[in-house]
Amino acid sequence: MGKEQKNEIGRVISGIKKGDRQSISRAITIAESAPEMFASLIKPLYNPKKEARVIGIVGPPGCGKSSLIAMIAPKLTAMGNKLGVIAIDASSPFTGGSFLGNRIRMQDSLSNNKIFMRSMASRGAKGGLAAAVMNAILVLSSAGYDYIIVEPVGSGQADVDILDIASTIVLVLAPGLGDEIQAAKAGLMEIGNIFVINKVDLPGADKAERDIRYFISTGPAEKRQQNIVKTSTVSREGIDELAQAIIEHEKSVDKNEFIKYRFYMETLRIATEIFSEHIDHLKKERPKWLETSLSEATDPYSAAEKIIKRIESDEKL
Amino acid sequence: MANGKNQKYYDKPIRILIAKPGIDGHDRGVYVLARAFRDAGMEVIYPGLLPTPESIIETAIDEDVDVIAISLLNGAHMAVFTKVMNLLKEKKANGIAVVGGGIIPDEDKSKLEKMGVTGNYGPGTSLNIIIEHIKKRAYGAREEKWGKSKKTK
Amino acid sequence: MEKVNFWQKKIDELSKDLNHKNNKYEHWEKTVLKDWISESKLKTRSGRLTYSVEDTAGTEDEMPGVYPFTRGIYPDMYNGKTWSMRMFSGFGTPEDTNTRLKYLLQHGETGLSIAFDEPTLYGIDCDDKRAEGEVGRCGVNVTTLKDMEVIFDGIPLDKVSTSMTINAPSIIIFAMFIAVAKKKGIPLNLLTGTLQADMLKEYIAQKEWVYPPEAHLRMIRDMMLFCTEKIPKWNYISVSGYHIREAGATAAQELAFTLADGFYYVDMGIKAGLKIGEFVPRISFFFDSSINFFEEIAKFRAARRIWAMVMKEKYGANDLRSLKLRFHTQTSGYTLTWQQPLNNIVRTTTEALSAALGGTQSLHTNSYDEALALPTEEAAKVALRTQQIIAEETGITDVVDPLGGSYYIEDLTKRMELEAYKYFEKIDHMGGILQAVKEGYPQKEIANSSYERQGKLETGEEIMVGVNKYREENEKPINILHINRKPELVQKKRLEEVKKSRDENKLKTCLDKLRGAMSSDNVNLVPHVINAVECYATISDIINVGREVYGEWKEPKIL
Repeated sequence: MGKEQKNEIGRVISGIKKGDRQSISRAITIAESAPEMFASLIKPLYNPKKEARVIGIVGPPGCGKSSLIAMIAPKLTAMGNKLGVIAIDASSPFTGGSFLGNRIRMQDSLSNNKIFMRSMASRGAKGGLAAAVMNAILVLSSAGYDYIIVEPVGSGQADVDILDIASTIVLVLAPGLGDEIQAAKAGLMEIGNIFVINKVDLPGADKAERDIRYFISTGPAEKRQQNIVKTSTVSREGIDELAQAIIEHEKSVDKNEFIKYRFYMETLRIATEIFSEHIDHLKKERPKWLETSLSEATDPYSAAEKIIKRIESDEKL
Repeated sequence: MANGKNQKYYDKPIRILIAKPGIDGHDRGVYVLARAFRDAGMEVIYPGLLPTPESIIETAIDEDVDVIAISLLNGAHMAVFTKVMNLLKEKKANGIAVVGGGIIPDEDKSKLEKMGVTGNYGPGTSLNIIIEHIKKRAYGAREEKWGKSKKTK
Repeated sequence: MEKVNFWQKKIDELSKDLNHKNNKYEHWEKTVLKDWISESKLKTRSGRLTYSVEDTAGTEDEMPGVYPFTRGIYPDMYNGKTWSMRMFSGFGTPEDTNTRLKYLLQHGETGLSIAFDEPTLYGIDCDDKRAEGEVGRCGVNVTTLKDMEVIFDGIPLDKVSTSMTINAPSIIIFAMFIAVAKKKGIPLNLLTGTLQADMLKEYIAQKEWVYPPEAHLRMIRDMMLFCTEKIPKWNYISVSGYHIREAGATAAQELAFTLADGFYYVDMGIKAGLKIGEFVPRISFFFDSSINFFEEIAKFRAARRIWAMVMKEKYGANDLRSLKLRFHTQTSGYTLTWQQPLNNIVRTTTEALSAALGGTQSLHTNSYDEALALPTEEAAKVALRTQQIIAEETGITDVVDPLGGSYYIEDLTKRMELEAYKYFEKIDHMGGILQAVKEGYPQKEIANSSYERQGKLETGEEIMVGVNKYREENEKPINILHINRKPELVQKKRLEEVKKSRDENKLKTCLDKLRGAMSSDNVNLVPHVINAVECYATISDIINVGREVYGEWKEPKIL
C-alpha cells in the first residue's frame, strides 16, 4: 500500500470518529473496492459493543420493498436511532454495469430522516450478497448506526445468505404474481421471521394470505406462530404494524448471541477470503517451490497437503 | 470477473449519478443515458425525478460516486448548476467530477466549464463521445480520491 | 370478458384484410422489379416498394363527414373553415406573455395557447426556494389569480378560443380562467377553448404529477361534470399523444396509448353518471406530427376511424358528435436540431403539411430556434407564416382528404389501426391502462423505443441531417431569446403585494372547505377551487391542501 493510500485511510478513520458522512461513504468504497486496504481501516475502528442490528428485507422484484422501507424508516429513527440502508442490485454478467434505482422510491424519506443509504451492485458475487455488504455493515456499525436495513437482490435463492447477518428477516410478497410459490421453492419461507403481504389494495390479497398460512402450517412447528402483516403503501395500512413487528422481533432476539454468531460467520468468511486469495496468487504466479512440490508429489492430495503446510508456516508463497 | 473480491479500486466500475436538478420531468434522456452507461460497465445511480440540489449532493457523497451527470432542458441551467457546484464546494466533497448536458447555448458552456461543469452535451451528441468524456473525468476524480496509480488511464 | 373479444374481433378482421392477395403487386414485382434491381438493393421500412389498388380494399365507401370519418370529421373540412392557427406561447411575466399573445393575434393567429413555466406546472409558488432560477424560463409564471388577470388583459375571451397546457394543477388554472371570465362579465357558456388536463399521459410520459393517479383523475372527473353542465363549449380535456411521442414512443405507440387513455376517460364519465352524448363530444385530442410524412397522415386517419368504430360498436354511441375525434397537432420538437437551425423551418413545414393532410382541427408549428431556447418573436412569426402559406398558397385546402384512395395511405392507415388494436388487447389483459401505467408498462415500452432510436442514430441507420450526416463545424451562433431573472423579481414582488392585500381569514375558510371537499369523493371540487383562487390563494396554497389529503406519487421502476 502506497503512502497516499495510507494517508487516505488515516483521514477516513479520523473522519468516521468525528461522524463525517463522506468518510463513512469513502470507507464503504474501500470495503467494496479495495479490500486489501480494508483490514487496516477497520482494525482501529471496530468495537464489538457497537455492532448494529441488521434487518433483512427480502422478496421478489416488484413487490414494493423499497416503498415499504421508505415508510417504516421514520418509525425506526423515531427514538433517535441512526438508520442505514444498503440496497443491492444485480450487475450485468456481460458488461459489469448496473442500474441502481432503489433510491427512486426512497429519496424523500432518506433526506427527511437523515438516513444513510448505499446502493451496491452485486459485481458477480456468487452468493447474492456481495462480500462488501458485511464490510459495509462493519463500517456503519463503527460509525454509530443502530439499525441497518439490507435489501438484497430479489433473486430468492441467493438471499439465504442473509441469515448470517440479519437478526430479523422480513419476507415481502405481493398478491397475484405467483410469488408465494417461487418463494417457497427458493427456501425463503423458512427464513422469514415476519411475513408481509404488500399491495393489499390489489385483488388477490386474501388468496395470498391463505397461501402463506398454508405454507407456514406445513413447515417446521416452531415457525407456525409466524407473524403476517398486511400492508399497502398507498393507504399506509399496516405500516405502523410492520415497524412495530420488527421492533418487537428484535427485542425477542438475544442481541449478544446473534452478534457472536455474526462475528463468527464473518471471521470465517474473512479467513476463507484470505485463504482463497493465497490460492489465487498461486494460480497466477506458480512459484518454483510449487513446481518442485508438484513434480515430487505422489498424488494430488499429498501435493495439496504440502501447499497447506506452506501457507500455515507463513513462509513466503 | 472477480468474485466480488480482489478488485483494485482503479479497476472497479465507474459510479455515476444521473440527476436533473431543476423542476423538469422530461426523462427520455435519463433512461437512454442510464442504459448506455450501464452497458458501458458503469454503476448508474438514479434517484428519481425532481431531486433538490441538496439531495443530489447528499446522494453523490453517500454513494461516493465518481461523476455526477446533470442535465436540464428548461433554460434554468446557469442558476441551478451553480447551486449544485456551490453545494459541492460547501460540503468539501472531493473526488467527484461534474459533467453537464441539456439545452445549453454555446455562450453558457464556457461559463459552466469555468465552474467545473464540463461536457455540456446537447441533444444529438453521440453516446460514445459522452461515455469517453465521462471516463476521462471519472479517472481524474478517482486520482483525487485515491492518489495516482500506474493503472489509472 | 366481452371486452377482450371485441379487440380480438377487430384484430382478426384487420389481419384478414391486410393479408389479402396482392396480385397486381406480385405480378409487377416478378415481371418488372426483379429485372430492374436485385433483391438485396431493396431497402424500405414498409416492406414493399409500392402499393396498388388492392391495398385500398374496404375503403371504397368512405367519404368525408361520414362514419367512420377516416377522411375527415366534416364534409367540407378546410374549405369551410381552416384549422385554428394556435401558437403555443408563454414566457417571463404575465405582461410579457400578454404582449406576445396580442402580437400573434395581430399577425393572424386564430386561437390562443398558453405555455406555463415549470414552477407553475408543478404547483410551486414563484417565491419558493425550488423555483429559484426557474421563474418564467420555459413558459409564463402564474402564482395567483392576479397573474391570469394580466395575461388576459385586453383579450376578448368570448371571441377567441384559449387553450391552456397545464396538467397537475389544471383545476387551479382552470378555476383562475373562470374567475377572470367572471370578472370580465363574460357568461361561462360563451367560453371556448381547451384545458389539457390529461393526467394519464403525465404518468406515462411527461411526469408532471403531484398526487397518486386516483386523486388527479378525480379532479378531471369534476371538471368534466362542471363543464358538461356549465361550460358546454369547453374542451375540458385534451387527451395527448404528443408527449408520449416526444418521450420516445413510435407512431403506433402514440396512437394506441393516447386512444387507450381516451377510452379510460369515457369510462370515467360513464361511471360518473353521464350519458355519452353529454360529455364525449367535448373530449378532444392532441397529437404529434413527426417527420415521417406518410406515417403521420395515416396515424391521424387511423385515430379517427378507431375512435368512431369503438364509440359506436363498443360503447353504443349513436350521435355523430360523439363519434368524431377532434384534435390539435404540434409539430415534433424532438426532430428539431440545434445544428443548422434554419433547417428546422423545412422540418416544421413538412410536419405541418402532414397534419393538414391528416385533417387536424388546430395546429401549432415550432419555431426554428426551439432546439436552443424559447422562440424569438421573429422565429414564431415564421412558424405562423408557415401555416398561412400552406393554407393559402398550396391549394391543399381546396379538396377534402386529397390523399384518400392513395394505395399507400390506405394500407398504412389499416396497419396503424391493427397495431393499435393489438396494444388495446394487451392493455386490457393487464387490467386496463391505469393498472398498466402503475406497473410501468407504457413507460417501459417508450424507454425501449427511445433507446432503439438512439442506437439507430449512432449506427447511421437513421439520419438527422446536420447531426449525423452533412455536419458542419464552427457554425455561427444565431440570435436567441434570453430570459433573465427579472421575471422572478417581478413575480415575487407581485406576489408580496397580493399577499398583503388578500383577506387571510377568508382564504383560510376557503382552504378548509376545500380540504373537506377533497376528503369526500362525492363533492365537485371546481366551485371550491374557484372560491379559493378568488381569495387570491397561491397555487401552492391549494396544491398543498391536496398533498395533505392525497399524498404524493413516486414513479415505478422502469429499468
